[in-house]
Amino acid sequence: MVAIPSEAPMRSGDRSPRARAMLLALVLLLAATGAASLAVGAAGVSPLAVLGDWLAGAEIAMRERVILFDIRLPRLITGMLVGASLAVSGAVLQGLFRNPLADPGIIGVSAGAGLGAVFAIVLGGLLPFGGPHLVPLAAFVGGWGVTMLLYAVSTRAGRTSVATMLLAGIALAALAGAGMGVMIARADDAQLRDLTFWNLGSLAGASWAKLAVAAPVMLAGLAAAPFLARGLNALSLGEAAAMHLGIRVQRVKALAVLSVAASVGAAVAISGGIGFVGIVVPHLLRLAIGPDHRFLLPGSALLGAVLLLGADMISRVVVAPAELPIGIVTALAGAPVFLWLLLRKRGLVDL
Amino acid sequence: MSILQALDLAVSLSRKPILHGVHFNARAGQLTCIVGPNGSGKTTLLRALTGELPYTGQILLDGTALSTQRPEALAERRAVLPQAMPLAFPFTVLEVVRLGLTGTAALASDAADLPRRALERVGLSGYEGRLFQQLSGGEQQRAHLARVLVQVWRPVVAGQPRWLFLDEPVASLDIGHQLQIMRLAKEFAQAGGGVIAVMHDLNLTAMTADAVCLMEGGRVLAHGAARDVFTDSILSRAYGCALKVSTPPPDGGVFILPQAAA
Repeated sequence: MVAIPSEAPMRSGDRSPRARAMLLALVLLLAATGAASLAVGAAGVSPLAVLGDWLAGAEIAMRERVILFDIRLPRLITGMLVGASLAVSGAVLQGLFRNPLADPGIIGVSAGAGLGAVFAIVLGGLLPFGGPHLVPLAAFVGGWGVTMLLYAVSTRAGRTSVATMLLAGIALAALAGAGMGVMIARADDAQLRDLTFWNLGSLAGASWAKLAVAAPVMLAGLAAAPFLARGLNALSLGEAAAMHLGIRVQRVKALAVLSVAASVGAAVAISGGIGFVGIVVPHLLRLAIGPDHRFLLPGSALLGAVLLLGADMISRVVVAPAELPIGIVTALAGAPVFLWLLLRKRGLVDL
Repeated sequence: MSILQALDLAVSLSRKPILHGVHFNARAGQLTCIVGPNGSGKTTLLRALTGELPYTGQILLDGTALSTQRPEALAERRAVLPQAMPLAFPFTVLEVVRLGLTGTAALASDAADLPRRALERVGLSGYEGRLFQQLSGGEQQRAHLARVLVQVWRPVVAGQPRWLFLDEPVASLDIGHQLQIMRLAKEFAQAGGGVIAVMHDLNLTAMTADAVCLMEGGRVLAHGAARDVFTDSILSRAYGCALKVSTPPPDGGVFILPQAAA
């Protein structure tokens, strides 16, 4: 058996006090990270000094106001929402597939959402309707389609085959990639520019206008999470056992898929491909507070937001004044964790 | 008297008929055991009764069709112990047992204490903090039983009996725990609840069951008291081998002995 060191001295088996303490600590950590994120930037504007000026009744300079309120603040909120959305989506997918290896990036949900977004960018002009809502909406539909397809392919009689799930995810991601290729080949120069910036995966383009479109979708996805916690806990016993516990299994599954598609779709639409947040965050939390989704889902939202803000600060600082795409930072940190997860799981050889 | 009935029940799995023309009934206050050779449809019958499988025919609880009940309402009236299930995430034993605290069970004044008492009844006191996935097969089986017990802790609520459906509850247990679990099922029935258990061990069944349903080839071959169902001719026909039923002293209970091929 694999020994889990941090869980050895656990006499009562009740991890909920520890989980509550952890949630409180994460709230404080998020506040600190958010403040730090506001303070860090190429322009060298200090929010504390600005706050001091404002309290003293002094006029705030135009330059500082723009940097703080129109550049850093929307970026902060975007980072928090995207991080929370990706991490919660990971936790929900893992609960739905009953497998800790499920992640929107790995199993192709992000690719499906990306295909939807690319479709909208390239073909959006041909449609009589749409406007700014079209890209996140199309990303949502793409993510939803892939999640539904994946669940249908990899789940038989209430049990999910890990191998089928991962392999089908690769196939679907490749298919979505091919679709994106076709769209890119059709795109004109202005669209190509949009696509390239979007594809880099960055919070750099965050603005109030984009947030106004994507934030409601991400918030809707996050708002579904509390209603899923009990169902996902029961589902870890299998679909039949969950039904016997009084859970409406089909409803939980449908809501889970919709919530993931909304969160991932909007997150991908606004920030491009940011991977591994959904796998690293729930995994770390499970080690610390156990797999109870009543604590795991809010914890994932908080830690995901912290992690993404941290990664964003790193991406802004390491090659300053240029910026590293944030997707590179999360992949550098997340891919080794994914590998470690694969290696320490026994019996995966015959999956 | 609360009664669970199946009338003219038929179940097909991927178009292959598994059960046909099954009539079955079980009374609250009794331990009803379903026995039969491998592939006779025991587990399929249990899964149809619990609503896991689509069926034709009728399943009635006190005259009301089970299929019309909402999952929440059903979870109040019956709990189901399936055959061995892997658990997806590293829950502790206490956390697994707590999953059984649903509906009114979660609101009861003694809810916080129920998991500990259930674990005590299945002989897993002190296992609360252990990780479920690190238990042996038999221990996992008993931890799940504790979870199921928590869900329907009181055998009768507001005059209505509750039901336990157990799919081979003693399959991976040693003889001591087999007797402990069967005694527990018996006590639940004696307190007014209904228990339906799929069993393999004929002697353990004969020792504990109030009623026995013997299945063969997707049909009910015999239904009644163990003494009436377990006869040389019926058993030999069902299992396709020579079986000798005797009633040894001191209590004259039924005992089944396979006959060596001469």
